[in-house]
Amino acid sequence: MMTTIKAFVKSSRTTIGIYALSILASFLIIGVVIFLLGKNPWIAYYFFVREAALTQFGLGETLVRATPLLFCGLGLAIAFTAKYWNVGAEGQMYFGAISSTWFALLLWDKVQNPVISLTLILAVGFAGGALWSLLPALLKARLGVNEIISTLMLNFVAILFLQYLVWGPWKDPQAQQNWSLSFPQVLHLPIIVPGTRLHVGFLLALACLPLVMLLLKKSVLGYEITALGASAEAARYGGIDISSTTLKIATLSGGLAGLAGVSEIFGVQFRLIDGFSLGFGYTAIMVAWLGKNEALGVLLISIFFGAILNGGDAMQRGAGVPMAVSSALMGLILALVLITEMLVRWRRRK
Amino acid sequence: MADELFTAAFVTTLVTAAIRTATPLLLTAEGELFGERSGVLNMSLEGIMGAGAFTAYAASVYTGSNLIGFFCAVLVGAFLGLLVAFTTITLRVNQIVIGLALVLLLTGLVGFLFRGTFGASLVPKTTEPLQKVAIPVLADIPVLGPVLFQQNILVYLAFSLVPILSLLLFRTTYGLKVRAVGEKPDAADTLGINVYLTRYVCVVFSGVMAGMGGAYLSLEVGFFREYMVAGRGWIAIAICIFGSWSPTRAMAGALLFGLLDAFQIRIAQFFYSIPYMLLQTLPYIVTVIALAVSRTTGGPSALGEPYVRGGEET
Repeated sequence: MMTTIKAFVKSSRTTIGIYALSILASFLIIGVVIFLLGKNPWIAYYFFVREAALTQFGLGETLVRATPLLFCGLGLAIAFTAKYWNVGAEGQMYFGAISSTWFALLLWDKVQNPVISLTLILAVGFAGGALWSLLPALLKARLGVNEIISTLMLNFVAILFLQYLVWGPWKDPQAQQNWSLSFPQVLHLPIIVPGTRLHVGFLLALACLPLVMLLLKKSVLGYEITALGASAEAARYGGIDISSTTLKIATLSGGLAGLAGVSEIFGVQFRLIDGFSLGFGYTAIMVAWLGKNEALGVLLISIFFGAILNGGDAMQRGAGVPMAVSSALMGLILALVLITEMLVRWRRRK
Repeated sequence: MADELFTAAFVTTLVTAAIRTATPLLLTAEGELFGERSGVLNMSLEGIMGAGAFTAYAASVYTGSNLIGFFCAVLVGAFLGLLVAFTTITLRVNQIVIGLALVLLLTGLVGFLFRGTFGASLVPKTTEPLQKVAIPVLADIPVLGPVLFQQNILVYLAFSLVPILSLLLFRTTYGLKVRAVGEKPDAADTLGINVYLTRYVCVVFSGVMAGMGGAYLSLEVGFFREYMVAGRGWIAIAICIFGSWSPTRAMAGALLFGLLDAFQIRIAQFFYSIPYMLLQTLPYIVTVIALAVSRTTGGPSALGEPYVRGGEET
């Protein structure tokens, strides 16, 4: 008993150590790059920290950005546990946004009760994302098509499709920009902290957390998912229907990404608009991996990356550092964690 | 209106454009072919192409020479290929995840560096686009001449590499070693083939070619834009798959895409009722269809699995 506890503590300490080191190193390296670009890294990071965590509005913004990461990240944690490489969260999120907008345009203000209308919209968004994810899953289950390429290609298709919709059929006739009509108040996800933009979507994402945890750890499907990820051959030998499990994984993963889309459109933008995503679907891949496909890990990393996205925005406004610094930071952290983890395991074997 | 589609002029410009558009895909796919044949999946091609495009552009702007820009991109590609090789072969990190991480890192870094160094100016700095080089006698052949033999240097490079690489892969001892390492690395190892070195070389090669592919994108037009790569790195991987990991089939695949892409741009003029965004989805949709339709038998058996001498330790 003591040895297992000791081992767990030691391995957690190692993990925390690796993460802390990688994060610090990443900030350092990027700080140097900022300096080489002719900007002051101290000022940049000052704005970063202040906006990300030290003001009420800033904290709200961090959580606002964490929300889609959390939704998508949970979905991807499910997929990655089974080693189903769903790289299409971005497209599934877009399709969730598209389908829910379609429904919203039909519904408009016919239903005055926001709880009912928003619940319906969320359901449609979930279905939209799930559908977009099922397509490549079917191709994989029936034809063995590599899901990395297929889900990825569909990302581009979904984004282009949305661009078409807001340029053409759904464009607000009175607007110059390519966006849809602004949704009526009854379709807005309510703000939960006045003075910020933090909306109910965040709470919904939090609510998904225990559900996903229960699913993965305690349900039969969760067992099948984990078994599939450990060894596809052994899973098949054990009687698990790989095709059917893959489809279920895709549905959940895509559906959650779809919810992220609804959350952004009905909680932040209040209209369908191109570019509503800061690459959340792709970032969520990093979130899921760094969170080790564990629901709690995903939560922590989502918030942390939400802070980086928010801070990156602040760095641009305050210090003139391009916003793409967020992407570079996050990618660097992941790369360093991956490398350091393997280095540690490598050294342990010698 | 539609009958204008079938004039010789339209078809020739279409094919010429198709060849040009296929080139970056072909260059990248040629490199990845070798990498995957040796058993390593280099998932970061999209990022390396972006890095190559930016490096070629930036170096070309600063030195005034496209050639230097090109070689800088090659160096960057080689370095990144080495990085991928080190993490996947020596450290044995999951090839898919490190690939994705690198794509995100590189795309972010490139965007960051581009805006930081060039973004501030209102007028984008441009370089001299690649010139067409006509091959003396061949360019005069009536219809085919201008289409095939009046392209820029990189096009000639990409297409002339196809038979060379094909020969290398299928008719030489070295090619046999590469394929052996990708099919059954432990057997290759017992025969005295250095699995690690072979894989390293192939992955670095894939990085170099991806760098070249990216360089082509920016040098061809003389400027750089964020997200210029637009998924071509991924399409190159797809080409390897449904091209059955063969250079000639990869060339066919690249040309198919080039054709589609060139077609989609031009057809917008004729069928202007079809919104251009929808037409732009064509290459991506066709990639998925091509993958679905090509019943590939899986490719190199050891693809994606790190090799450990003496067997896998858990």
